[in-house]
Amino acid sequence: MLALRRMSTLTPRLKGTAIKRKSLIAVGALAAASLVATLVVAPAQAATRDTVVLQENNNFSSFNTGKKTTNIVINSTVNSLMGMGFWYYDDNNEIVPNTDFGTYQIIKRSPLTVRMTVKGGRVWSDGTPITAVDLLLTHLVCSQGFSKAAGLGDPSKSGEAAFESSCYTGTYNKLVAGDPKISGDQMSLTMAFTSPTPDWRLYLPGPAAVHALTLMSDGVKGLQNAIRNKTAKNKFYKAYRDKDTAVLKKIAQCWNTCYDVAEVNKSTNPLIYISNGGFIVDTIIKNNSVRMVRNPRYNSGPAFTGNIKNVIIRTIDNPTAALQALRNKELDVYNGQATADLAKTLQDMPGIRTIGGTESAWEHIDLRFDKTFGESDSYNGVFADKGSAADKAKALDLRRAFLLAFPRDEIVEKIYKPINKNAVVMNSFMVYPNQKAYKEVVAKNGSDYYTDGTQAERTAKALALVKKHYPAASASNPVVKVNLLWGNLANARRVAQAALIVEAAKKAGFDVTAPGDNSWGGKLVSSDYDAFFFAYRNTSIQQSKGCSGYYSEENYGGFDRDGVIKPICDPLGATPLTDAEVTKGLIDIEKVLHDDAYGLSIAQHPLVVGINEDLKGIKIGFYPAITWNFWEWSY
Amino acid sequence: MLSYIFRRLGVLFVIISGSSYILYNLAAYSGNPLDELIGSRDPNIEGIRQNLIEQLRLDVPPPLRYFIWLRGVLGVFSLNLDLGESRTGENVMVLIGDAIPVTIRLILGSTIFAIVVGITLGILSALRQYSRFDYSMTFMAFLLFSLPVFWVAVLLKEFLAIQFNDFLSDPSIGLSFMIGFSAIAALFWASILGRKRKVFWGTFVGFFAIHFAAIYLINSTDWLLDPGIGPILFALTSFGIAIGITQLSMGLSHRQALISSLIVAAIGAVSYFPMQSFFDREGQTRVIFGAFALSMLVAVGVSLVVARIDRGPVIRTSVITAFLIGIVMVVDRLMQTWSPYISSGEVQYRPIPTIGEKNPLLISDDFWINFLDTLLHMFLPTIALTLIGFAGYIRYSRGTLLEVLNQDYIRTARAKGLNERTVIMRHAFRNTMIPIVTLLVVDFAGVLGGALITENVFAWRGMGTLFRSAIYSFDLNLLMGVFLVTATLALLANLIADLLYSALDPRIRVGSGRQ
Repeated sequence: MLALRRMSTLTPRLKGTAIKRKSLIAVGALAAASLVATLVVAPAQAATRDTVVLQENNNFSSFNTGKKTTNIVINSTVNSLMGMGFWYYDDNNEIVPNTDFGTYQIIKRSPLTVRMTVKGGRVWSDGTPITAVDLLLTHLVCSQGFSKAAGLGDPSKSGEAAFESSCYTGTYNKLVAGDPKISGDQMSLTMAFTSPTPDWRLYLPGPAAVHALTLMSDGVKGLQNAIRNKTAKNKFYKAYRDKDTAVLKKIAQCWNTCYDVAEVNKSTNPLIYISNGGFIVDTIIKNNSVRMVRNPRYNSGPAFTGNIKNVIIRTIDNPTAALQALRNKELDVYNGQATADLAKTLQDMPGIRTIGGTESAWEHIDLRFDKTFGESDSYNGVFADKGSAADKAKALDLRRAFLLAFPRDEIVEKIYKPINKNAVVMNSFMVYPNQKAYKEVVAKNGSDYYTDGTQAERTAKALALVKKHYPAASASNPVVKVNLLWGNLANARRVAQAALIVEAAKKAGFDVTAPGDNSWGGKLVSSDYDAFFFAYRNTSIQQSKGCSGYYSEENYGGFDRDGVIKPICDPLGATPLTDAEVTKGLIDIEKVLHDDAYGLSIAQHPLVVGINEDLKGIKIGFYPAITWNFWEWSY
Repeated sequence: MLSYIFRRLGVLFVIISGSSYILYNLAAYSGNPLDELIGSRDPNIEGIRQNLIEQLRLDVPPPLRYFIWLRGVLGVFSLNLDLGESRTGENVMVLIGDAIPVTIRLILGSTIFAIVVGITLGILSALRQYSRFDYSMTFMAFLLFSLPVFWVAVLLKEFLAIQFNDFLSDPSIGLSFMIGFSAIAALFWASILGRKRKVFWGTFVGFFAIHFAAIYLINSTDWLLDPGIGPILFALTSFGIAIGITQLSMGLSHRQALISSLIVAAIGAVSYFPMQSFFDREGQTRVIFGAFALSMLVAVGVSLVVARIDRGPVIRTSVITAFLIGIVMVVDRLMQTWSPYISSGEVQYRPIPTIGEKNPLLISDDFWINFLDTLLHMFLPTIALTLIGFAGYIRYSRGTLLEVLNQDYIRTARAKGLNERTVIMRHAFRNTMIPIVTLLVVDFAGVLGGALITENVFAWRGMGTLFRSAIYSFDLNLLMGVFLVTATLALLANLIADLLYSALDPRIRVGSGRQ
């Protein structure tokens, strides 16, 4: 009887539960307790799950991530599920064109002019067709020229621009020439660039539901019919085309404030979350979670192959709490801080599958050549690239020796692999190991000098180099004093790393002082230190792969080979090149870096993601790391 | 008195101004928000840096930047308080306004439990001074005192949430657990009740049997999957409560008090069935509050009819009885909700959560489902805070009661022939409460700002979380906002504690400074 009753309450969703009077049953249960004792109850069963619960550290605060204050991770995560544009990053750090949404192509090389076309039949979640007009908002909030011309204020002056956008100071403003033009059928947008930037795809505008924005700026609440939506979109387009200051100011006002919500419920204006992604927001519980459901009209991206119906993003900013929540099935994906302990805990957790991965940040060691560009204190340490030719040669030998003795294999083996078992030493300064060009770059960039043989052999080679200048040097008599900067002390990985470095360098005759410093960031420019390790991170993948970071004014180590590097790097950042040309350029630059013993990359930061073992299809992408392939998720 | 209060408020103002200036500068110099950008290879890094400088006013040195913040705060005098915006662009006042109820929900229950359990155990332990029970309570108090809350929380989550939920998917209690648990519980009761060896073992065996039978029944009837009290047990409980409360407050020899509370219990028992259909109706919050109010009115009425003398205490006894019976009825109703709740697709037989204030998967209009969900989310944090908190109350109430019991007026009370219950409950207990009340006020204010770790571990977004995230993200406006509120509350609580002390204890006067 009890078992039967439980089965009848097994419903997929809770409705108002009318509870039966249990009184009689309870009496019976008490009286006949011993009889019921043998009643065997089938183990509890649960309905099939179709919800994925993700975790973020912050609270959701806005659907508009274009403001200085609202560009936080959870807002971006929600937006990444809500919106699809012309391309996305995959798990190989490559840009994948999203042909389900539209296409883009270069139509003129000089000046570089690009046309993008929205595929016909794409719709917003309220059914309004997506057109090229929906691509114009980016220009409004990023172009200083447009803002000034339309009477919306000069964004270069603080607080003047009508749109409180953080994009005005960005690269879009520098690169995009004039105002983008809309084609006659309103499905294509053509934009010109001031210079032939190879990374033009990064600056392609994304779609935004401008009809909803325009409606809201007029104080409209609630979803509207097709005609009203179309009228609103036309109004926006006209205001853009005619630079109608009054209308645009109202729109700006709404753009600044309408999207900032900490909760979404039935009384929230549904116009603020009209979107074209796979999921749309259903409810947001303040201080707790964002609940998203499948967008029934989704056709702006790859079709769903998985069966996920809901995504919930919970706010949990304590890793231990998140882990236990994962174990308790309150969370399906944990992607947070990665330490060896945490990875171990995850691996031992029943019902949880872990995948190792890498972050876009990579750890690297830099040596100091001279004072940092623009600083005044001079550097005369062991690695100083100054003085006579003999002095320079000595410093080069010592730099090479230090890098030869640098225990990269050991660091990766002991610190990175326990977290991500696929971790590898990164032998390129600018190319990630999972990128296409990596193999070729590494084969030719001179890194083999620092990878040949075993670490013991390299250390012997290093000691020999040191002995050339300090004959008395040995492992028991480390005479070359090196001040190594790193931080901070709360970072267990770095603490372990520093210890390994000190130990290994000693074998090559280096006496490394590396106590660690919590305010290391400000000390990178200080000439008190001969070497420092920290992490670089890319926020986008560009053709130049960030080679300008090795210009004298960009690096902290006072490394100045601008005469060689700039002529190679500048073209990489200036104009679209073929993959072969790019790879060759990168190889040439990295060869200089390796030959001069600038430093070494160590490895990409490891990542461990714990996933409910029933959930399939999660892959770690470049950005966003988890949500980029939501259409493949499945139970 | 009034001048004393004004003087204290003046001091409060000075303290807050000074400490806020110090804190602002300490926090501002503790790190550089621009350090976050080190290592970023963003092509637009300069723009991002400029944005950050502009947003956080990093161009103004902290000692002066403080006054930018202060200008908004001083707006309080023109009824226009402005604590600024957090780094995520939200109004700090709104954030704090949202966080305070969360924190209060978190600490209110645990504070009440800690007080009730702590004082009860403390008093029992004082009355059994130097007994095994006393020593084990002392041991437990110090043990709990020394436990860090994050660790307790992790253990609680592991055993009471994760493992309990695992267990619940196929709940059958093992024999060794039945025996072990019953033995420990019986030991507890026996050491309270049995002072003589014979009584001790008698009680032990009795309670062992009771507990063992209870667990056996729970196990064999799948009570854990579908619990409930039922009308018979409910009636028994009601009468038990009536007798117990009367015994504590007036003594069973007081016939009118006993009759009055027994009648209340009877009415409660009879109303079990009608109340069930009331509970199914819409507008549950109103129904419940109404029912509580009604039950207390009935209790007052019954006492007025029954009692001729001592009306005040009798009314109090009946009202407390009625209140407790009402709570049992609500608990019973929640138990009935348990089965549909845990078998739902959103809960999937994992009812005890480890994080948050609410199950975000759950979308239900049903009051009881939502109420149960909220309570279950409060379960672990409340236990954690109670465990940590009540140790202090055990020690305080034990110490204070022992001190009071040595006073002359207790000896006088005993000498004039009052029974032990009256001596303890009326003469000693009340005086014990005086220092504890003041302790409580200060504690409560302290916890409001200080449940930082607990909130973090249980992912509750209250004041502690705000404070913590403000520190981690160099969010000065938010940090100062939280500081302003908690510091003011703490100082006000101290003032209130002092005033309360003088109100409760006529021997103490505040304010005059001269005799």
